[in-house]
Amino acid sequence: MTISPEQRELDGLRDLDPQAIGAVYDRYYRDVYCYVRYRLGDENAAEDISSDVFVRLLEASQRGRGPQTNLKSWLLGTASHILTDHIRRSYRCPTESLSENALDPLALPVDELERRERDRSLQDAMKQLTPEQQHVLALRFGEGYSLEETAAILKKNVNAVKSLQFRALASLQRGIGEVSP
Amino acid sequence: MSERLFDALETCLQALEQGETIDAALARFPALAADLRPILETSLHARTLGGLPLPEGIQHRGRARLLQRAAEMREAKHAPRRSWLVQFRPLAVALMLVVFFLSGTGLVRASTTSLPGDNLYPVKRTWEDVRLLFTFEKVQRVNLEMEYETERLGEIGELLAEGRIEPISFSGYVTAQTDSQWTVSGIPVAITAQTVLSGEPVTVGTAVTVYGMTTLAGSVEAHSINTVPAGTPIPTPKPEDENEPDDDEGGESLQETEPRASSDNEANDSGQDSQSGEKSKVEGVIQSISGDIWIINGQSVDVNGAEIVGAPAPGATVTIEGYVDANGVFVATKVILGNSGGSGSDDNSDSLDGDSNDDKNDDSDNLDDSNNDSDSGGDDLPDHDD
Repeated sequence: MTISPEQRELDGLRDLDPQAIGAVYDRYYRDVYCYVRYRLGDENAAEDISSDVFVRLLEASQRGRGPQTNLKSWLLGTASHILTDHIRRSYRCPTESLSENALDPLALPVDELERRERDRSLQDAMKQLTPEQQHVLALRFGEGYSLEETAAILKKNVNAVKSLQFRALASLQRGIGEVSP
Repeated sequence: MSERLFDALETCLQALEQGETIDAALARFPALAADLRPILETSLHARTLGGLPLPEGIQHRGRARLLQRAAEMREAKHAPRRSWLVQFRPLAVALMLVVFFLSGTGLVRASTTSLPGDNLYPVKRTWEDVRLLFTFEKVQRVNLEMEYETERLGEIGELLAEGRIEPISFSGYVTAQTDSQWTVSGIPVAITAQTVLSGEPVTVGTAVTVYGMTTLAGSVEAHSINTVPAGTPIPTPKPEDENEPDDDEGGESLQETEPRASSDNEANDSGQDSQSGEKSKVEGVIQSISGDIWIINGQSVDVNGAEIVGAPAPGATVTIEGYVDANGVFVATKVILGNSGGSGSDDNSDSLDGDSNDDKNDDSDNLDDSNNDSDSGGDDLPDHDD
Protein backbone atom coordinates (compact mmCIF):
# COMPACT_ATOMS: atom_id res chain seq x y z
CA MET A 1 0.00 0.00 0.00
CA THR A 2 1.41 3.39 -0.97
CA ILE A 3 1.08 6.41 1.26
CA SER A 4 0.14 9.69 -0.37
CA PRO A 5 2.50 12.67 0.12
CA GLU A 6 -0.23 14.46 2.05
CA GLN A 7 -0.68 11.47 4.35
CA ARG A 8 3.09 11.45 4.92
CA GLU A 9 2.90 15.13 5.83
CA LEU A 10 0.07 14.46 8.27
CA ASP A 11 2.02 11.59 9.84
CA GLY A 12 5.05 13.87 10.15
CA LEU A 13 2.95 16.51 11.90
CA ARG A 14 1.67 13.93 14.35
CA ASP A 15 5.24 12.86 15.09
CA LEU A 16 6.32 16.52 15.40
CA ASP A 17 8.93 15.88 12.75
CA PRO A 18 10.64 19.27 12.13
CA GLN A 19 11.20 18.50 8.47
CA ALA A 20 7.56 17.68 7.84
CA ILE A 21 6.41 20.71 9.84
CA GLY A 22 8.73 22.99 7.85
CA ALA A 23 7.52 21.52 4.55
CA VAL A 24 3.85 21.99 5.43
CA TYR A 25 4.50 25.52 6.64
CA ASP A 26 6.42 26.52 3.51
CA ARG A 27 3.75 25.09 1.25
CA TYR A 28 0.72 26.66 2.86
CA TYR A 29 1.91 29.78 4.69
CA ARG A 30 1.38 32.10 1.76
CA ASP A 31 -2.20 30.94 1.23
CA VAL A 32 -3.09 31.29 4.88
CA TYR A 33 -1.43 34.67 5.29
CA CYS A 34 -3.00 36.12 2.13
CA TYR A 35 -6.41 34.81 3.15
CA VAL A 36 -6.19 36.46 6.57
CA ARG A 37 -4.77 39.68 5.19
CA TYR A 38 -7.52 39.80 2.58
CA ARG A 39 -10.18 39.66 5.24
CA LEU A 40 -8.50 41.91 7.80
CA GLY A 41 -6.40 44.28 5.74
CA ASP A 42 -3.93 44.41 8.62
CA GLU A 43 -0.49 42.91 7.99
CA ASN A 44 0.56 42.70 11.65
CA ALA A 45 -2.62 40.95 12.73
CA ALA A 46 -2.44 38.70 9.67
CA GLU A 47 1.08 37.61 10.68
CA ASP A 48 -0.01 36.76 14.23
CA ILE A 49 -3.15 34.95 13.16
CA SER A 50 -1.34 32.95 10.47
CA SER A 51 1.19 31.77 13.06
CA ASP A 52 -1.68 30.79 15.33
CA VAL A 53 -3.23 28.71 12.58
CA PHE A 54 -0.13 26.54 12.22
CA VAL A 55 0.31 26.15 15.97
CA ARG A 56 -3.29 24.96 16.16
CA LEU A 57 -2.54 22.50 13.39
CA LEU A 58 0.26 20.98 15.50
CA GLU A 59 -1.88 20.87 18.62
CA ALA A 60 -4.81 19.32 16.81
CA SER A 61 -2.55 16.70 15.22
CA GLN A 62 -1.24 15.75 18.66
CA ARG A 63 -4.75 15.28 19.98
CA GLY A 64 -5.72 13.24 16.93
CA ARG A 65 -8.18 15.91 15.84
CA GLY A 66 -6.20 17.31 12.96
CA PRO A 67 -7.11 17.15 9.28
CA GLN A 68 -7.60 13.69 7.85
CA THR A 69 -7.35 14.59 4.17
CA ASN A 70 -7.52 18.16 2.86
CA LEU A 71 -4.87 20.07 4.76
CA LYS A 72 -5.30 23.41 3.00
CA SER A 73 -9.03 23.37 3.50
CA TRP A 74 -8.52 22.66 7.21
CA LEU A 75 -6.00 25.51 7.50
CA LEU A 76 -8.27 28.06 5.84
CA GLY A 77 -11.26 26.90 7.89
CA THR A 78 -9.25 27.28 11.09
CA ALA A 79 -8.00 30.69 9.95
CA SER A 80 -11.63 31.72 9.46
CA HIS A 81 -12.53 30.66 13.01
CA ILE A 82 -9.58 32.49 14.54
CA LEU A 83 -10.39 35.57 12.48
CA THR A 84 -13.97 35.57 13.63
CA ASP A 85 -12.79 35.46 17.26
CA HIS A 86 -10.27 38.20 16.55
CA ILE A 87 -12.87 40.45 14.96
CA ARG A 88 -15.26 39.84 17.86
CA ARG A 89 -12.54 40.78 20.33
CA SER A 90 -11.58 43.87 18.38
CA TYR A 91 -15.20 45.07 18.50
CA ARG A 92 -15.06 44.85 22.28
CA CYS A 93 -11.60 46.50 22.55
CA PRO A 94 -11.10 48.59 19.42
CA THR A 95 -7.50 49.50 18.57
CA GLU A 96 -6.09 51.78 15.91
CA SER A 97 -3.69 50.24 13.41
CA LEU A 98 -0.55 52.30 13.13
CA SER A 99 0.76 50.79 9.94
CA GLU A 100 -1.22 53.06 7.59
CA ASN A 101 -1.66 56.14 9.75
CA ALA A 102 1.99 56.35 10.68
CA LEU A 103 2.93 57.26 7.11
CA ASP A 104 3.01 60.85 6.01
CA PRO A 105 0.37 61.13 3.22
CA LEU A 106 2.26 64.01 1.63
CA ALA A 107 5.28 61.77 1.03
CA LEU A 108 3.29 59.41 -1.22
CA PRO A 109 2.50 59.78 -4.96
CA VAL A 110 -1.11 60.64 -5.82
CA ASP A 111 -1.76 57.28 -7.48
CA GLU A 112 -0.56 55.43 -4.41
CA LEU A 113 -2.68 57.64 -2.19
CA GLU A 114 -5.78 56.92 -4.29
CA ARG A 115 -5.09 53.20 -4.27
CA ARG A 116 -4.72 53.21 -0.51
CA GLU A 117 -7.90 55.20 -0.09
CA ARG A 118 -9.76 52.77 -2.34
CA ASP A 119 -8.41 49.77 -0.47
CA ARG A 120 -9.32 51.36 2.85
CA SER A 121 -12.89 51.87 1.69
CA LEU A 122 -13.02 48.28 0.52
CA GLN A 123 -11.60 46.99 3.80
CA ASP A 124 -14.04 49.05 5.82
CA ALA A 125 -16.90 47.75 3.72
CA MET A 126 -15.56 44.20 4.05
CA LYS A 127 -15.71 44.47 7.84
CA GLN A 128 -19.44 45.08 7.61
CA LEU A 129 -20.06 41.72 5.96
CA THR A 130 -20.92 38.58 7.87
CA PRO A 131 -17.99 36.16 8.53
CA GLU A 132 -19.46 33.74 5.99
CA GLN A 133 -19.68 36.45 3.32
CA GLN A 134 -16.09 37.50 4.03
CA HIS A 135 -15.05 33.85 3.87
CA VAL A 136 -16.57 33.30 0.43
CA LEU A 137 -15.07 36.51 -1.01
CA ALA A 138 -11.63 35.71 0.40
CA LEU A 139 -11.73 32.24 -1.11
CA ARG A 140 -13.03 33.31 -4.51
CA PHE A 141 -11.27 36.64 -5.04
CA GLY A 142 -8.37 36.48 -2.58
CA GLU A 143 -7.34 32.85 -3.09
CA GLY A 144 -8.76 32.43 -6.60
CA TYR A 145 -10.69 29.22 -5.87
CA SER A 146 -13.29 28.05 -8.38
CA LEU A 147 -16.95 27.84 -7.42
CA GLU A 148 -16.69 24.07 -6.89
CA GLU A 149 -13.53 24.31 -4.76
CA THR A 150 -15.10 27.04 -2.65
CA ALA A 151 -18.20 24.91 -2.17
CA ALA A 152 -16.05 21.98 -1.00
CA ILE A 153 -14.21 24.14 1.55
CA LEU A 154 -17.40 25.73 2.81
CA LYS A 155 -19.10 22.31 2.82
CA LYS A 156 -22.03 23.77 0.92
CA ASN A 157 -23.57 22.93 -2.43
CA VAL A 158 -22.68 24.97 -5.48
CA ASN A 159 -26.04 26.77 -5.68
CA ALA A 160 -25.75 27.88 -2.07
CA VAL A 161 -22.30 29.32 -2.82
CA LYS A 162 -23.63 31.15 -5.90
CA SER A 163 -26.29 32.76 -3.76
CA LEU A 164 -23.83 33.55 -0.97
CA GLN A 165 -21.31 35.22 -3.27
CA PHE A 166 -24.04 37.28 -4.92
CA ARG A 167 -25.26 38.57 -1.56
CA ALA A 168 -21.67 39.14 -0.38
CA LEU A 169 -20.81 41.25 -3.45
CA ALA A 170 -24.08 43.15 -3.22
CA SER A 171 -23.43 43.93 0.46
CA LEU A 172 -19.87 44.94 -0.32
CA GLN A 173 -21.05 47.25 -3.05
CA ARG A 174 -23.52 48.91 -0.67
CA GLY A 175 -20.82 49.12 1.98
CA ILE A 176 -18.37 50.86 -0.35
CA GLY A 177 -21.09 53.36 -1.23
CA GLU A 178 -21.65 54.07 2.45
CA VAL A 179 -18.03 54.42 3.51
CA SER A 180 -16.86 56.37 0.46
CA PRO A 181 -16.91 60.14 0.94
CA MET B 1 -35.56 34.97 -11.02
CA SER B 2 -32.93 35.15 -8.29
CA GLU B 3 -31.51 31.77 -9.28
CA ARG B 4 -31.08 33.06 -12.82
CA LEU B 5 -29.36 36.11 -11.41
CA PHE B 6 -26.95 33.99 -9.34
CA ASP B 7 -26.15 31.78 -12.34
CA ALA B 8 -25.69 34.82 -14.57
CA LEU B 9 -23.32 36.38 -12.04
CA GLU B 10 -21.24 33.22 -11.92
CA THR B 11 -21.06 33.06 -15.72
CA CYS B 12 -19.98 36.71 -15.88
CA LEU B 13 -17.37 36.22 -13.12
CA GLN B 14 -15.85 33.35 -15.05
CA ALA B 15 -15.84 35.48 -18.21
CA LEU B 16 -14.02 38.27 -16.36
CA GLU B 17 -11.47 35.74 -15.11
CA GLN B 18 -10.89 34.78 -18.75
CA GLY B 19 -10.04 38.41 -19.48
CA GLU B 20 -13.35 39.61 -20.93
CA THR B 21 -14.61 43.12 -20.21
CA ILE B 22 -17.73 43.76 -18.12
CA ASP B 23 -19.64 44.88 -21.22
CA ALA B 24 -18.72 41.71 -23.12
CA ALA B 25 -19.75 39.56 -20.19
CA LEU B 26 -23.05 41.37 -19.69
CA ALA B 27 -23.90 41.10 -23.37
CA ARG B 28 -24.98 37.50 -22.61
CA PHE B 29 -27.65 38.72 -20.18
CA PRO B 30 -29.05 42.03 -21.45
CA ALA B 31 -32.14 41.77 -19.25
CA LEU B 32 -30.00 41.45 -16.11
CA ALA B 33 -27.25 43.87 -17.08
CA ALA B 34 -28.51 46.73 -14.93
CA ASP B 35 -28.53 44.56 -11.81
CA LEU B 36 -25.26 42.80 -12.51
CA ARG B 37 -23.04 45.69 -13.59
CA PRO B 38 -22.42 47.28 -10.15
CA ILE B 39 -21.84 43.86 -8.66
CA LEU B 40 -19.32 42.91 -11.32
CA GLU B 41 -17.53 46.24 -10.80
CA THR B 42 -17.36 45.47 -7.08
CA SER B 43 -15.98 41.99 -7.84
CA LEU B 44 -13.14 43.55 -9.87
CA HIS B 45 -12.50 45.85 -6.96
CA ALA B 46 -12.53 42.90 -4.53
CA ARG B 47 -10.07 41.01 -6.69
CA THR B 48 -7.47 43.80 -6.36
CA LEU B 49 -7.07 43.05 -2.65
CA GLY B 50 -5.77 39.57 -3.38
CA GLY B 51 -2.42 38.61 -4.84
CA LEU B 52 -0.36 41.20 -2.97
CA PRO B 53 3.24 40.13 -2.29
CA LEU B 54 4.24 38.80 1.13
CA PRO B 55 6.04 41.35 3.34
CA GLU B 56 9.75 40.63 3.53
CA GLY B 57 10.94 38.23 6.25
CA ILE B 58 7.47 37.44 7.48
CA GLN B 59 7.57 33.79 6.45
CA HIS B 60 10.95 33.13 8.09
CA ARG B 61 9.82 34.70 11.36
CA GLY B 62 6.70 32.55 11.45
CA ARG B 63 8.64 29.42 10.55
CA ALA B 64 11.10 29.90 13.40
CA ARG B 65 8.27 30.48 15.85
CA LEU B 66 6.43 27.37 14.71
CA LEU B 67 9.50 25.12 14.94
CA GLN B 68 10.23 26.52 18.40
CA ARG B 69 6.70 25.64 19.46
CA ALA B 70 7.09 22.15 17.97
CA ALA B 71 10.30 21.66 19.97
CA GLU B 72 8.47 22.63 23.18
CA MET B 73 5.69 20.18 22.39
CA ARG B 74 8.22 17.42 21.72
CA GLU B 75 9.87 18.13 25.06
CA ALA B 76 6.55 18.07 26.88
CA LYS B 77 5.69 14.82 25.15
CA HIS B 78 8.84 13.17 26.45
CA ALA B 79 8.62 14.66 29.91
CA PRO B 80 9.40 12.22 32.75
CA ARG B 81 6.69 9.76 33.60
CA ARG B 82 6.56 11.03 37.15
CA SER B 83 4.69 14.15 36.07
CA TRP B 84 2.14 11.89 34.42
CA LEU B 85 1.80 9.93 37.61
CA VAL B 86 1.41 13.06 39.68
CA GLN B 87 -1.15 14.41 37.26
CA PHE B 88 -3.25 11.27 37.32
CA ARG B 89 -2.74 10.26 40.93
CA PRO B 90 -6.23 11.41 41.98
CA LEU B 91 -7.68 9.39 39.13
CA ALA B 92 -5.63 6.38 40.14
CA VAL B 93 -6.77 6.67 43.74
CA ALA B 94 -10.37 6.92 42.60
CA LEU B 95 -9.89 3.89 40.40
CA MET B 96 -8.31 2.03 43.29
CA LEU B 97 -11.29 2.81 45.49
CA VAL B 98 -13.72 1.69 42.82
CA VAL B 99 -11.84 -1.56 42.37
CA PHE B 100 -11.67 -1.99 46.13
CA PHE B 101 -15.43 -1.76 46.44
CA LEU B 102 -15.91 -3.99 43.47
CA SER B 103 -13.57 -6.53 45.00
CA GLY B 104 -15.77 -6.43 48.08
CA THR B 105 -18.47 -8.04 45.99
CA GLY B 106 -16.09 -10.69 44.79
CA LEU B 107 -15.79 -9.31 41.27
CA VAL B 108 -12.01 -9.10 41.27
CA ARG B 109 -11.74 -12.47 42.97
CA ALA B 110 -14.12 -13.99 40.46
CA SER B 111 -12.08 -12.54 37.62
CA THR B 112 -8.84 -14.26 38.68
CA THR B 113 -9.66 -17.40 36.72
CA SER B 114 -11.00 -15.56 33.67
CA LEU B 115 -9.37 -15.94 30.27
CA PRO B 116 -9.00 -13.57 27.31
CA GLY B 117 -12.44 -13.12 25.76
CA ASP B 118 -14.29 -13.64 29.06
CA ASN B 119 -16.47 -10.84 30.37
CA LEU B 120 -14.45 -10.54 33.56
CA TYR B 121 -11.06 -10.61 31.87
CA PRO B 122 -10.79 -6.78 31.63
CA VAL B 123 -11.41 -6.65 35.40
CA LYS B 124 -8.52 -9.05 35.94
CA ARG B 125 -6.14 -7.03 33.77
CA THR B 126 -7.23 -3.72 35.29
CA TRP B 127 -6.62 -5.09 38.76
CA GLU B 128 -3.15 -6.20 37.68
CA ASP B 129 -2.45 -2.71 36.34
CA VAL B 130 -3.66 -1.13 39.57
CA ARG B 131 -1.42 -3.42 41.62
CA LEU B 132 1.55 -2.56 39.43
CA LEU B 133 0.75 1.14 39.65
CA PHE B 134 0.91 1.01 43.42
CA THR B 135 3.98 -1.19 43.64
CA PHE B 136 6.84 1.23 43.98
CA GLU B 137 9.55 -1.13 45.28
CA LYS B 138 11.60 -2.20 42.27
CA VAL B 139 12.16 -5.86 43.20
CA GLN B 140 8.53 -6.41 44.11
CA ARG B 141 7.46 -4.77 40.89
CA VAL B 142 9.70 -7.04 38.82
CA ASN B 143 8.32 -10.07 40.68
CA LEU B 144 4.78 -8.93 40.04
CA GLU B 145 5.44 -8.33 36.35
CA MET B 146 6.99 -11.77 36.10
CA GLU B 147 3.99 -13.27 37.86
CA TYR B 148 1.64 -11.63 35.36
CA GLU B 149 3.70 -12.73 32.37
CA THR B 150 3.61 -16.30 33.69
CA GLU B 151 -0.15 -15.91 34.11
CA ARG B 152 -0.43 -14.89 30.43
CA LEU B 153 1.31 -18.12 29.40
CA GLY B 154 -1.04 -20.15 31.57
CA GLU B 155 -4.08 -18.39 30.10
CA ILE B 156 -2.96 -19.12 26.55
CA GLY B 157 -2.33 -22.75 27.46
CA GLU B 158 -5.91 -22.98 28.75
CA LEU B 159 -7.33 -21.26 25.67
CA LEU B 160 -5.49 -23.71 23.41
CA ALA B 161 -6.61 -26.66 25.50
CA GLU B 162 -10.23 -25.48 25.31
CA GLY B 163 -9.93 -24.85 21.57
CA ARG B 164 -10.99 -21.22 21.86
CA ILE B 165 -10.15 -18.52 19.31
CA GLU B 166 -9.25 -15.29 21.08
CA PRO B 167 -6.88 -12.37 20.46
CA ILE B 168 -3.90 -12.59 22.83
CA SER B 169 -0.44 -11.22 23.44
CA PHE B 170 2.37 -12.62 25.54
CA SER B 171 6.12 -12.44 26.04
CA GLY B 172 8.60 -15.28 26.22
CA TYR B 173 11.80 -16.78 24.91
CA VAL B 174 12.03 -18.46 21.52
CA THR B 175 13.05 -22.05 22.19
CA ALA B 176 12.57 -23.57 18.75
CA GLN B 177 12.28 -22.16 15.24
CA THR B 178 11.26 -23.43 11.85
CA ASP B 179 10.09 -21.39 8.88
CA SER B 180 6.43 -21.78 9.71
CA GLN B 181 6.39 -22.49 13.43
CA TRP B 182 8.22 -21.21 16.48
CA THR B 183 7.96 -22.23 20.08
CA VAL B 184 7.89 -19.31 22.48
CA SER B 185 8.11 -20.25 26.16
CA GLY B 186 6.36 -23.51 25.41
CA ILE B 187 3.60 -21.97 23.27
CA PRO B 188 3.54 -23.12 19.63
CA VAL B 189 3.38 -20.04 17.41
CA ALA B 190 2.42 -20.30 13.73
CA ILE B 191 4.30 -17.89 11.46
CA THR B 192 2.39 -16.88 8.32
CA ALA B 193 3.13 -14.63 5.37
CA GLN B 194 1.12 -11.92 7.13
CA THR B 195 3.15 -12.07 10.34
CA VAL B 196 4.99 -8.81 10.85
CA LEU B 197 8.41 -9.21 12.42
CA SER B 198 9.98 -6.10 13.85
CA GLY B 199 13.00 -5.29 15.94
CA GLU B 200 16.22 -7.29 16.03
CA PRO B 201 16.66 -10.59 14.13
CA VAL B 202 15.09 -13.39 16.15
CA THR B 203 16.99 -16.58 16.96
CA VAL B 204 16.55 -19.32 19.55
CA GLY B 205 16.95 -17.69 22.94
CA THR B 206 15.65 -14.26 21.85
CA ALA B 207 12.99 -12.69 24.08
CA VAL B 208 9.94 -11.65 22.06
CA THR B 209 6.42 -10.36 22.46
CA VAL B 210 3.85 -12.13 20.31
CA TYR B 211 0.54 -10.56 19.25
CA GLY B 212 -1.90 -12.90 17.61
CA MET B 213 -4.86 -15.19 17.91
CA THR B 214 -5.29 -18.63 19.43
CA THR B 215 -6.46 -21.19 16.89
CA LEU B 216 -8.27 -24.50 16.87
CA ALA B 217 -5.03 -26.08 15.69
CA GLY B 218 -3.61 -25.70 19.19
CA SER B 219 -1.21 -22.93 18.34
CA VAL B 220 -1.11 -19.16 18.29
CA GLU B 221 -1.28 -17.55 14.86
CA ALA B 222 1.13 -14.62 15.12
CA HIS B 223 0.06 -11.27 13.65
CA SER B 224 3.20 -9.52 14.78
CA ILE B 225 6.29 -10.37 16.78
CA ASN B 226 8.55 -7.79 18.40
CA THR B 227 11.83 -8.33 20.16
CA VAL B 228 11.79 -7.33 23.80
CA PRO B 229 14.25 -4.81 25.25
CA ALA B 230 16.88 -6.22 27.60
CA GLY B 231 15.89 -6.22 31.25
CA THR B 232 12.17 -6.81 30.65
CA PRO B 233 10.89 -9.47 33.06
CA ILE B 234 10.01 -12.57 31.06
CA PRO B 235 9.28 -16.08 32.33
CA THR B 236 12.02 -18.58 31.52
CA PRO B 237 11.05 -21.38 29.14
CA LYS B 238 10.73 -24.81 30.67
CA PRO B 239 13.27 -27.43 29.68
CA GLU B 240 11.66 -30.04 27.45
CA ASP B 241 12.09 -32.94 29.88
CA GLU B 242 10.23 -31.06 32.54
CA ASN B 243 7.08 -31.26 30.53
CA GLU B 244 6.94 -34.95 31.37
CA PRO B 245 5.14 -36.11 34.48
CA ASP B 246 7.45 -35.77 37.42
CA ASP B 247 7.79 -38.84 39.53
CA ASP B 248 10.97 -37.74 41.12
CA GLU B 249 10.54 -37.57 44.80
CA GLY B 250 13.44 -35.26 45.19
CA GLY B 251 13.23 -31.54 45.19
CA GLU B 252 15.37 -30.94 42.16
CA SER B 253 12.70 -30.17 39.63
CA LEU B 254 11.20 -26.74 39.40
CA GLN B 255 8.35 -26.59 41.79
CA GLU B 256 5.61 -24.10 42.42
CA THR B 257 6.51 -23.79 46.03
CA GLU B 258 7.89 -20.54 47.19
CA PRO B 259 10.64 -19.91 49.68
CA ARG B 260 8.70 -17.37 51.61
CA ALA B 261 9.61 -16.43 55.12
CA SER B 262 7.58 -18.50 57.52
CA SER B 263 7.67 -19.91 60.98
CA ASP B 264 5.82 -23.11 60.19
CA ASN B 265 8.53 -24.65 58.14
CA GLU B 266 8.51 -28.10 59.58
CA ALA B 267 11.14 -29.42 57.21
CA ASN B 268 13.51 -26.68 57.99
CA ASP B 269 16.30 -27.87 60.19
CA SER B 270 17.89 -24.55 60.77
CA GLY B 271 16.26 -24.20 64.10
CA GLN B 272 15.85 -20.50 63.73
CA ASP B 273 12.69 -19.06 65.21
CA SER B 274 12.58 -15.73 63.53
CA GLN B 275 10.01 -15.31 60.82
CA SER B 276 12.71 -14.21 58.48
CA GLY B 277 16.21 -15.57 58.35
CA GLU B 278 15.36 -19.25 58.10
CA LYS B 279 17.91 -21.12 56.12
CA SER B 280 16.77 -23.05 53.11
CA LYS B 281 18.12 -24.54 49.94
CA VAL B 282 16.42 -23.81 46.66
CA GLU B 283 16.80 -24.63 43.01
CA GLY B 284 15.78 -22.91 39.84
CA VAL B 285 16.84 -21.37 36.57
CA ILE B 286 18.50 -17.98 36.34
CA GLN B 287 16.33 -15.68 34.26
CA SER B 288 18.28 -12.49 34.52
CA ILE B 289 21.26 -11.05 36.31
CA SER B 290 21.37 -7.46 37.37
CA GLY B 291 24.42 -6.92 39.56
CA ASP B 292 23.85 -8.70 42.86
CA ILE B 293 20.15 -9.23 42.17
CA TRP B 294 19.35 -12.32 40.15
CA ILE B 295 15.90 -13.30 39.04
CA ILE B 296 15.42 -17.03 39.52
CA ASN B 297 12.04 -18.47 38.49
CA GLY B 298 10.49 -15.07 38.96
CA GLN B 299 11.94 -14.56 42.41
CA SER B 300 14.59 -11.96 43.22
CA VAL B 301 17.67 -13.32 44.95
CA ASP B 302 20.33 -11.11 46.49
CA VAL B 303 23.70 -12.82 45.91
CA ASN B 304 25.79 -10.06 47.47
CA GLY B 305 28.38 -11.77 49.69
CA ALA B 306 27.39 -15.26 48.59
CA GLU B 307 29.92 -17.93 47.73
CA ILE B 308 29.40 -18.59 44.02
CA VAL B 309 30.53 -21.90 42.55
CA GLY B 310 30.53 -21.94 38.75
CA ALA B 311 29.87 -19.33 36.10
CA PRO B 312 26.44 -17.71 36.37
CA ALA B 313 24.50 -16.95 33.19
CA PRO B 314 20.83 -16.53 32.28
CA GLY B 315 19.29 -19.92 31.59
CA ALA B 316 21.66 -21.79 33.91
CA THR B 317 20.29 -24.11 36.57
CA VAL B 318 21.31 -23.07 40.02
CA THR B 319 21.13 -24.33 43.58
CA ILE B 320 21.09 -21.69 46.25
CA GLU B 321 21.43 -21.80 49.98
CA GLY B 322 20.22 -18.80 51.87
CA TYR B 323 17.45 -17.23 53.86
CA VAL B 324 14.65 -14.70 53.51
CA ASP B 325 15.46 -11.44 55.20
CA ALA B 326 13.10 -9.13 57.03
CA ASN B 327 12.25 -7.32 53.79
CA GLY B 328 11.14 -10.53 52.16
CA VAL B 329 14.20 -10.72 49.91
CA PHE B 330 15.87 -14.08 49.51
CA VAL B 331 19.52 -13.58 50.44
CA ALA B 332 21.87 -16.23 49.10
CA THR B 333 24.82 -17.46 51.16
CA LYS B 334 26.00 -20.07 48.68
CA VAL B 335 25.30 -20.40 44.97
CA ILE B 336 26.13 -23.51 43.01
CA LEU B 337 25.71 -23.41 39.25
CA GLY B 338 24.46 -26.57 37.58
CA ASN B 339 22.74 -29.49 39.29
CA SER B 340 25.71 -30.51 41.40
CA GLY B 341 24.44 -28.79 44.43
CA GLY B 342 20.95 -30.24 44.25
CA SER B 343 19.99 -33.40 46.01
CA GLY B 344 16.76 -35.23 45.70
CA SER B 345 17.13 -36.51 49.19
CA ASP B 346 17.68 -33.15 50.69
CA ASP B 347 14.63 -32.33 52.75
CA ASN B 348 15.55 -28.74 52.84
CA SER B 349 15.71 -28.38 49.10
CA ASP B 350 13.11 -26.05 47.63
CA SER B 351 12.44 -24.29 44.38
CA LEU B 352 11.97 -20.66 43.58
CA ASP B 353 9.05 -19.33 41.68
CA GLY B 354 6.55 -16.58 41.76
CA ASP B 355 3.40 -18.48 42.59
CA SER B 356 1.79 -17.28 45.75
CA ASN B 357 -1.13 -19.71 45.68
CA ASP B 358 0.88 -22.61 46.88
CA ASP B 359 -0.57 -25.22 49.14
CA LYS B 360 1.81 -27.24 51.19
CA ASN B 361 -0.34 -30.37 50.94
CA ASP B 362 -0.97 -30.11 47.28
CA ASP B 363 1.68 -30.00 44.64
CA SER B 364 -0.80 -30.23 41.79
CA ASP B 365 -0.27 -26.59 40.97
CA ASN B 366 3.16 -27.32 39.68
CA LEU B 367 3.19 -25.29 36.49
CA ASP B 368 6.04 -27.30 35.13
CA ASP B 369 4.06 -30.44 35.38
CA SER B 370 0.39 -29.98 34.88
CA ASN B 371 -0.08 -33.75 34.89
CA ASN B 372 1.78 -34.13 38.07
CA ASP B 373 1.00 -37.21 40.03
CA SER B 374 -0.49 -36.01 43.25
CA ASP B 375 0.79 -39.09 44.96
CA SER B 376 4.35 -38.25 44.23
CA GLY B 377 4.46 -35.99 47.18
CA GLY B 378 8.11 -35.94 46.48
CA ASP B 379 8.54 -32.43 47.43
CA ASP B 380 7.19 -32.52 50.86
CA LEU B 381 8.90 -29.24 50.81
CA PRO B 382 8.43 -26.61 53.39
CA ASP B 383 5.62 -24.26 52.77
CA HIS B 384 6.67 -20.98 54.20
CA ASP B 385 3.36 -19.35 53.73
CA ASP B 386 2.15 -17.70 56.83
